Amino acid sequence: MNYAGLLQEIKSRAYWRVEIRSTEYDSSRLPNRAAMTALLRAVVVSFRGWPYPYFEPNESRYNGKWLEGHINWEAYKEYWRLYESSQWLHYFAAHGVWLPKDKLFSGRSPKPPDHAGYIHVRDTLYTVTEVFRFAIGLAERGVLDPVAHLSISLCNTRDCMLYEDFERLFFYNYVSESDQPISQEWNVPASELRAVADEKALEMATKILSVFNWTPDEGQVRILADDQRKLLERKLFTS
Amino acid sequence: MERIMTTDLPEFDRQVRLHRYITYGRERGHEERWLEYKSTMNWKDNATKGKIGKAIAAMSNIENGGVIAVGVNPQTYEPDGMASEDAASFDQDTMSEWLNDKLEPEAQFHVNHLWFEGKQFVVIEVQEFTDVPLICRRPLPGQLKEGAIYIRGKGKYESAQIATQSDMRDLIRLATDKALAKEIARLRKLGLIPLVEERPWVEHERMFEEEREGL
Repeated sequence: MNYAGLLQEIKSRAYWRVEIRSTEYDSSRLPNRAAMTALLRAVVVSFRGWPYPYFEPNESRYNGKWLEGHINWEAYKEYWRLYESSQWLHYFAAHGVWLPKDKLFSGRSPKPPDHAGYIHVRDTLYTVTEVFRFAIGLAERGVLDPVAHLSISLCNTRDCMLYEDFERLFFYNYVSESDQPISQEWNVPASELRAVADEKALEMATKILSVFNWTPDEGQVRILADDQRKLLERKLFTS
Repeated sequence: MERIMTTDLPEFDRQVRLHRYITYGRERGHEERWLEYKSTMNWKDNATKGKIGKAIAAMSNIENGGVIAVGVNPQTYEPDGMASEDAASFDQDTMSEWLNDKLEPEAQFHVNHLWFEGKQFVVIEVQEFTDVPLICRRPLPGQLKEGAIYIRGKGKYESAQIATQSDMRDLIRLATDKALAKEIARLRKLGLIPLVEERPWVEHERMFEEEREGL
């Protein structure tokens, strides 16, 4: 199966690109499909119903160098590769740019103005947090030693509007004018990743949001930190 | 929370990190070994000099150093802020001069002034010692003891004279590791330890990039 078409579709609107690897290349870290499958089975995370990443062993394909997988279902569009060096590469669509506006803002009045897509504040935080938690799994299985490299980018965001379903909807000003990917990179000793991951995820998400002309103040950062905690404790849907 | 000197960070990152130090205790309900809170105080008071001097010496003697945030209640962790004259009394040069007289070798620290929720704070970032642990060379009656080695304990988060075997072992290990790293670097420089096993990081980057085949 050729996934070029799916990748092209993902890249046609706002999308995420995630790269996780060690800083030291070693092609023998994951020598075969069994090793890759076992690793992914162990490290997939799921805090809110949809896993990161979407991994179905039977649907994935191995070519001797990497294992690859995909999903293309409604707003869920993903393509990933896990290489023999344990390098992880993942492209996936930002959800709010594939859902119809009426569905996205169902029950809301007035609706926001038309834009290329809509990026949800907390979905951004949750996504980055899930990526970090997935990275912790990789690190704790030794495949990122000695130093882990994480690169998270939100791309193709021009004219996308930030929104949030707090009482106050963000409507007019929080729109990306950037043609450049919003990229964050970080190197950290693999053994230290767990201790600092959630904090760093919050920091990275905050920086990503600032490109939409929204810089959360301390109070808002505290709310986001609280939401992140609820996500991790799987209490998102309880008060 | 990853600890690096914020002076090395871009301004936005620096501000975010400093503010996080202020709110960290309130969010988590505790201090850390590397994070100590103090209520408002004035550097002109000897008691303040003693407490801050001890805390800086103690943070210098732990791995990765630490942070002292003044203006945060150490019991409730509420960011109460500092009186303006108290905040203004914390001056990098004045403090360095006083501390260099009391401690040896020199403590490496940076004093940051910041506002949060309309209140003033001082955040002192302390670097881990460079070669040998800091020791108090001149006493301050009732506060600092000559010859004492202060440390932020592992069991109980307070800046105090080293008192447990475990803390002493950690400190010795830290100093030994530094000496060893320095010696290895010296031997490498002399060509007595070959560098052949090390591949430059750019080489690793290139191999990862090739593996991705342009993706």
